Amino acid sequence: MAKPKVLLIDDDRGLVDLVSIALEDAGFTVDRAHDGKAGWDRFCAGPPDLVVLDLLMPELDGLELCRRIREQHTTPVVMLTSRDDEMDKVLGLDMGADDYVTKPFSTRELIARIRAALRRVSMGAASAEVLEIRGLRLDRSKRDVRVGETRVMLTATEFELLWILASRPGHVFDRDTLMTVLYGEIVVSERTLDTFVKRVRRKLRAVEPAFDELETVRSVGYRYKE
Amino acid sequence: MGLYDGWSRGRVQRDVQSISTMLSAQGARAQRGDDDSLDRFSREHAVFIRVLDRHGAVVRQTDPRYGDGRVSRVPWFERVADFFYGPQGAPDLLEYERVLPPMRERAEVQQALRGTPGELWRRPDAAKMFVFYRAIPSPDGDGVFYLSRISRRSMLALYDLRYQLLKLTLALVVSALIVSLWVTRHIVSPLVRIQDACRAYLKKGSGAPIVLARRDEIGDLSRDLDELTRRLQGWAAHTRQVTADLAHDLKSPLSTIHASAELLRDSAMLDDDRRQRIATAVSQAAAHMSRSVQAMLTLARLDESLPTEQRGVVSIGDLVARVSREFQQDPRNSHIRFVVDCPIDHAVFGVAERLAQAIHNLVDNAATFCRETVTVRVTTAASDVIIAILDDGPGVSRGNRDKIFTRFFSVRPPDQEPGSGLGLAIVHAIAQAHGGRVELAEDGEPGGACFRLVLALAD
Repeated sequence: MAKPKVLLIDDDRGLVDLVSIALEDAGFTVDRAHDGKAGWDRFCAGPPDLVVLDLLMPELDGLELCRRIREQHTTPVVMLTSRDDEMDKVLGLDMGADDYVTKPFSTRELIARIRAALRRVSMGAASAEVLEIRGLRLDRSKRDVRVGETRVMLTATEFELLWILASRPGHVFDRDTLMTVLYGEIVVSERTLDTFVKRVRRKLRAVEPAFDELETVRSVGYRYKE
Repeated sequence: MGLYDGWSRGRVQRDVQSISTMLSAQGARAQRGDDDSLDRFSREHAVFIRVLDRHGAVVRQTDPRYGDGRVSRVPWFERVADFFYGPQGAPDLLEYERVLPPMRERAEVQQALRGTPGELWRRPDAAKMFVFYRAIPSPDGDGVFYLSRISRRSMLALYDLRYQLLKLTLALVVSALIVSLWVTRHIVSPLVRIQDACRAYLKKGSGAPIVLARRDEIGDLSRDLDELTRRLQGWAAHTRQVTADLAHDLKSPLSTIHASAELLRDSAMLDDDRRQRIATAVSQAAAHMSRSVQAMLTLARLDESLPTEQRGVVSIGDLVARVSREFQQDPRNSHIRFVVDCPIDHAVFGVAERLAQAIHNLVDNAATFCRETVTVRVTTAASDVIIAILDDGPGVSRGNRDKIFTRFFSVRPPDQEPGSGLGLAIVHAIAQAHGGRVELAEDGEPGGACFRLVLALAD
């Protein structure tokens, strides 16, 4: 199996160099860029399996770059941020990032998160399962989501979240369960999950404005309407 | 006084009516007059009693003074009224009686003689005395009890002065009350509001503005306090932001150090190349941190000293010449052409040392990015002097234009010594303390960057 390619974008050259070493040791190939614009060019030149990017960068900042990637791609994005405030994280997730790591971070943690994100991409890739429920069609192997005839582009994390909920309509999944399925042992905040649900709803509503199948069960979790 | 007058008269009337009923019940014994019971009764009930025979002739009478209450026992409220209005009754009641028609011609007496009680108010001396008369047939039908009592009004004239004093006192009390209410409302409560606001601010560290829309000293005080609070809050927010920015800036080099430690610990192989890369990264991180901390201290000292530093008239020509000299003495700049375009000398009011530092920072930036020329051009516009620093380098890219004034944001070519990202922040602080500004010219020279330091010309 080919080594997964990670595109690492940060303006701190020393940091990029060291993280590259660690990633290479962990079995990844690494492509690097030192500002947002160069990062975008590298991305277009040869789409990586995953992008790690810093939030604040010269030229094009991380949020803008993430938004730009999301316009056409579902490639997992892990953000590096120096900001502790939750808003920044949520904003990053809102722009389409799959996960974030707060600086100063441990490379081990970063690698664990990269692996988890890649695992979500490969989840169900081998299965030929197709799920149809009231006009919504999910094809897990192709990661294809359609509302009626219209295709909705979901990232791996978003797809898996929707798949889990839609595969058992009426069942209430609590946040812990959902987070464990999606992130494994990695600790993520509940807000992260909420942001993902919001993103899925938003994308589906963009096609079908009346979509309200994803219900919030107050202080427990979520369920897909029976 | 109409209210009291009415009340007093009503009281007199009711009293005399009930007394006459009591008297009528005692009846015969009183009429006989063989003892002093009538006298006692008269005294006790403060009423002047006369006993008339069937022809209306007085057969017996009590002391007329009983009718004005001076001899009788008086309840406390009557005494208070006495103090202001004077005691009841007129000393000349009998005198007055003389001008009245004879007994038998008086309407109330005639009525009583006919067998039914009769009563009447009389006003002997217009508006100064009221006397209530009540005549009742005696129980044996052989005569009349004739009772009278004076109402308060009688003595007003005598006690005019006290009355006026009372009015004055009352007026004073009322106005004192109004003044104290006004003082409370207009001076004490606003002060209390200001105090509350101050305490709330001290307690919570933040608070809403006091906002007293007044044009007096209290209004001024509230505005001054608001301004003080606003500045303190601004200062606190600034400090918070700068601290957060520094913390934020230090996290990247910290990550590098973290990653280095992990690599040193976890790497299966640690060859020379790897060791070299780790060492370089760590020393760059350390340099980054010390640069940031140093620049941060400079900025902090600047913030502290700028407002109090001695200011004077500063010649821009001298400043530029000084920066130019320093620039050319630096061997690192030997390949750069330094052009000064300052046809006329201008003066500004400020701290020479600081202004030189600001120009120096801008020139230093220009030198980092230029190909071969740095130009300083001094011009004026309206009442401002504009010191433009231009270079012939790549210019500031569109993506970075709105970032370059952010603290700790630094983009320098990889072959250049890295910057702290606070150079422009320092220029900004100096310009601001001089009432000026620093800006990136919208459309500078073709290609290169053009920063403009705008300061007010000295008068």
